[in-house]
Amino acid sequence: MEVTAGCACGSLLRPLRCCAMDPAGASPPGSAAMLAPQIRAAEEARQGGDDARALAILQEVLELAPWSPAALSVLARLHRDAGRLGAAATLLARIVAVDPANHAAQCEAARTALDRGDIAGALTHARNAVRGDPLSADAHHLLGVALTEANRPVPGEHHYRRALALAAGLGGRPALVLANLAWNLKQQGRITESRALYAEARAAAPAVLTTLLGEARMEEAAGNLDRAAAVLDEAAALAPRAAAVTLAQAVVAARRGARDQALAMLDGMAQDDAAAPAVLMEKGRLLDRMDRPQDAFAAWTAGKQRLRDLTGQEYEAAAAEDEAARLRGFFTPPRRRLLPRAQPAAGPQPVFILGFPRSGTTLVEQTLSAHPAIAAGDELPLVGDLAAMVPRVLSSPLPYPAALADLWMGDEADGLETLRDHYLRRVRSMGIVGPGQAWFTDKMPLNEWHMGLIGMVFPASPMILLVRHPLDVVLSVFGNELTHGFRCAFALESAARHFALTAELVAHYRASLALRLLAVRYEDLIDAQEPTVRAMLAFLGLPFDLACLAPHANTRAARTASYAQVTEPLYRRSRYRYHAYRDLLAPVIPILAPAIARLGYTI
Amino acid sequence: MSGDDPVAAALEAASAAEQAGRIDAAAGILAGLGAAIEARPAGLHLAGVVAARQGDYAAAATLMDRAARLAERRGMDPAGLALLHRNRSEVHRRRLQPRAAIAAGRAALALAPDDPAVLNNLALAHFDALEIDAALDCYDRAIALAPDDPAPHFGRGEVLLSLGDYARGWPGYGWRFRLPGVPAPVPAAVLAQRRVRRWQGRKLAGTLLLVADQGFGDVVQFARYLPWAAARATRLVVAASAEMLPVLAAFPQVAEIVTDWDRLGEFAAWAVLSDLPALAGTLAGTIPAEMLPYLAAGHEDGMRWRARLDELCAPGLRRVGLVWAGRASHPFDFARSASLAALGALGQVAGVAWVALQLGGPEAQVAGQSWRAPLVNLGPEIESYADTMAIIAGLERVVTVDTSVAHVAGAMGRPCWLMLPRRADWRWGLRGADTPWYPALRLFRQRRLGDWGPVAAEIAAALEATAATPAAR
Repeated sequence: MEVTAGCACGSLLRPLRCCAMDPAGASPPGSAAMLAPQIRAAEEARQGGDDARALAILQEVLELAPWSPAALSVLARLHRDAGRLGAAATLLARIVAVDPANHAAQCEAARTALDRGDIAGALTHARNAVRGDPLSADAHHLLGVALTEANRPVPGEHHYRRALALAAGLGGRPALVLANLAWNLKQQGRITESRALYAEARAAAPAVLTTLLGEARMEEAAGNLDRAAAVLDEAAALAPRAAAVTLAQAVVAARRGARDQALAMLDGMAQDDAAAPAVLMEKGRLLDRMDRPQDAFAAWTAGKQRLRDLTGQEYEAAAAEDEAARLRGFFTPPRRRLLPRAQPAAGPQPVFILGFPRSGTTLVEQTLSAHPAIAAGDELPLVGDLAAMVPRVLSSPLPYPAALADLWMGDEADGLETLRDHYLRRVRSMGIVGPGQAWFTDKMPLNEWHMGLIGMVFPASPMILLVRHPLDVVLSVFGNELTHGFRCAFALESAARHFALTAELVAHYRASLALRLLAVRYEDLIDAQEPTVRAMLAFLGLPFDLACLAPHANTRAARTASYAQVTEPLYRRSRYRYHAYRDLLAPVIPILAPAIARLGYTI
Repeated sequence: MSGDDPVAAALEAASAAEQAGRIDAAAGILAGLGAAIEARPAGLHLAGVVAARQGDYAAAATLMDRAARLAERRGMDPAGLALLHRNRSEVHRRRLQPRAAIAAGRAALALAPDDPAVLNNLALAHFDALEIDAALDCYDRAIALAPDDPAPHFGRGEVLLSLGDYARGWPGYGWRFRLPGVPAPVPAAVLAQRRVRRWQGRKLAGTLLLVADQGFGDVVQFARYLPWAAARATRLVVAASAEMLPVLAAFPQVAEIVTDWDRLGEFAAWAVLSDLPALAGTLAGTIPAEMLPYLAAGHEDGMRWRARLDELCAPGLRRVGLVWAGRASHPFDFARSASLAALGALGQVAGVAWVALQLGGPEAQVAGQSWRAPLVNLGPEIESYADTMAIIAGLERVVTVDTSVAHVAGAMGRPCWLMLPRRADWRWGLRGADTPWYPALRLFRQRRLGDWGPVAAEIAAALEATAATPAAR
């Protein structure tokens, strides 16, 4: 048959046999058994490289049996191999919706979600896979990957190790799992263990490109640039024309100061490779360091455009504005006065380092965690978890934040303590706080959206709010690959809009709530480091410690985009960097003007 | 008539709208005229008046100055020009530019030497510039021209009180209830139902009603006279806003506090609280302070707020209260209120946690603040003066502009540093760092009107100097 108008999801099926179908019309399992030979033929055609024939057969089959899991599965694989990840995800979701116990489909759906960058989706499917088959090494491995990508490396490590244990029973420790666990440990700053695992992975499978690339990045993050370069030489020998290798080599060369060489590497890449978002973004950063703002801006603009084209994703403006409005509407002084606060718990307490991405939160964490009393928690995803848990914990039919009104119910009055304990228990399980440390940092970007909730659950916990010239922040967000904040970083204008929205929400919180908060200017950290550091420590009630003046010497490995910067002594080039880009930033100045004025900056 | 002149017709319409209080409509008409008003002094003048009514005194001054320059070149009727200069004087005064205000006032006076309103405005400008003799001279001339006009009597009274000449100041101060727009202290309907008289301070066989008038700070300041008044009447009833209940509750001599005129019982005579110093014959040397402290925080409130401050401030930091602005509707707010940004020097003091007791619109200024010292915005949790007192009890001291918080801290005997404009309200006098009204207060005065920076710097230095002796004043 001929398909004239394909479904919007890209499945190449008719809408009425795809997303426009009524789920109630699904046939009973096994009802399409008579079509099995055709499905086998389609799979054979796919494996034989004849995608057109495979597709034609599958379209015929799915016209007759649109819910056939076997046919959907083959079609999903066909789309996935062709890079049509959205269509593959839609079809896999259809299979597991009908049959959640379909283990293979859950695993495939998790894998596809990971490839799409859909971490929440990957977590859902990987958890379902583990629930369905707790003895599946594949399922544990996928959950390990998803948790690690979701900035939860400690539970991710648990599932990697479970996958290794299960695989060992089948005759060995798979190199892929070893390499992924090594990356996970690198994310936790456990470099020595990571290095050993990479060695084991390489011994098990000496010629795996992704393993070499991961190891090189680990060495780079640890500051061993020579070792990173050597590993990348091996990778280059293995795959001389691989774009990922060239990009990694360029990054290392740039960190060694050889920017011309790094730029030449990127310029020498094949046309398609050079147009990849990661390459364009790195090229922009190189050009920025080489004081070529026009060229840097052009590279970033192209990189973001490519990213939007490839992923089909953009800023979720309506969702962001809706959430901000709900938070502003709920956290008002009259209501806040009536809501309780949790009692403090014993043990180490969080210090919340708040700020828009690229506002200096990593530098502050490196500074503070150099103090013997403070552990670095890095980007803990726990405050977002608490917000999501509120309706469940308080048995409320309302969403967050309106669900907090259930704290007025006599039987839910201890709900805040439940949230507090959940947070602290998770932190304990991560093992980030050492002996004698009274504080740990949580620098999850955009936690400032939940300042109201933090003030209720941890009323005595200090919040350090990073403030930086809005044009510098937005420029830096534009020049980096970030997924925070409703995907605002996918374009310059959306980054500015989300910054303005966040700044307005923060201003509302600061004016409407009594908070233990210290606003710290990034520029002060650079221009007046010692008094600013002293002020932060005094705010925490801690004595001054000289080590805090050398954040670059802090041996812990920060894992965020800022890691390369905080391993250098404090530098001034990022302060008022926007001056060089002022004309290029003109379109977003009206968006940022209110925040610029409110925060006491000028242009 | 302006029938043939559409611009003149539009200006007339805008003027009518402005005088009817429809300021946005007036602004809209003027905006529609565009550059056409640039050629007309009256148009620029009216635009300045509208800008002033919108609270934009900088724009108003610019427009009126342009109008005056244009009038010099093109001519303008003397009455209109005198009014223009008089208005220029007032907008410059509100911009805290007394020299420009005086110059404009003199220009107006040259055109209208017998206009008491011009003299009154010029007197205010001289007073702001602390040119006392010139201010009194203008007031005297205005009174001679219009003996029944309350404005110069009241202004003269305030100047004399500022000089500490209470004996001659109180009578002028008493004219305040005759000023336009000032409501009667007791509604006429309340008085009409009763045969009562205004109390003059003598023994009264019957119930005395005292009206807690003016601002909350005045109530706190003059509440010290309540025992004196109670001793002169059979029974003392106070009519007050509900906000003042925690303050008045400190005086057992008050038999009843009424917050609703409809619930007011019978009384034999009435007076306003702010008249009690005059009725008691208070002189600068006889200000009663022996009853201080006469306010105290409640025990439970104190415990609750101390626990809250322990949550919000690190244990090693000195806790200092801060208020930077008063009620915006106060007639002298343009001079007495600061902005948080202007007090930046305070934020540089190491070892201090600032505890903002600020209420109202200026609270929003904390959103842009990034001082090196933490600033806890406690305002959103303050519900009453009982809270304010309990918080002050847990602070090392309070730093504030001239608002009720200064009076509360002073009445509690808590250390309080008061930031005053160069020309302060009469009760703080014209010079000196002490006030007999509240021995716990230390006064920090501007050297230049509107310039809070040096005041903040002086307080920052004083705070650092007291680091070793935090209990010192």
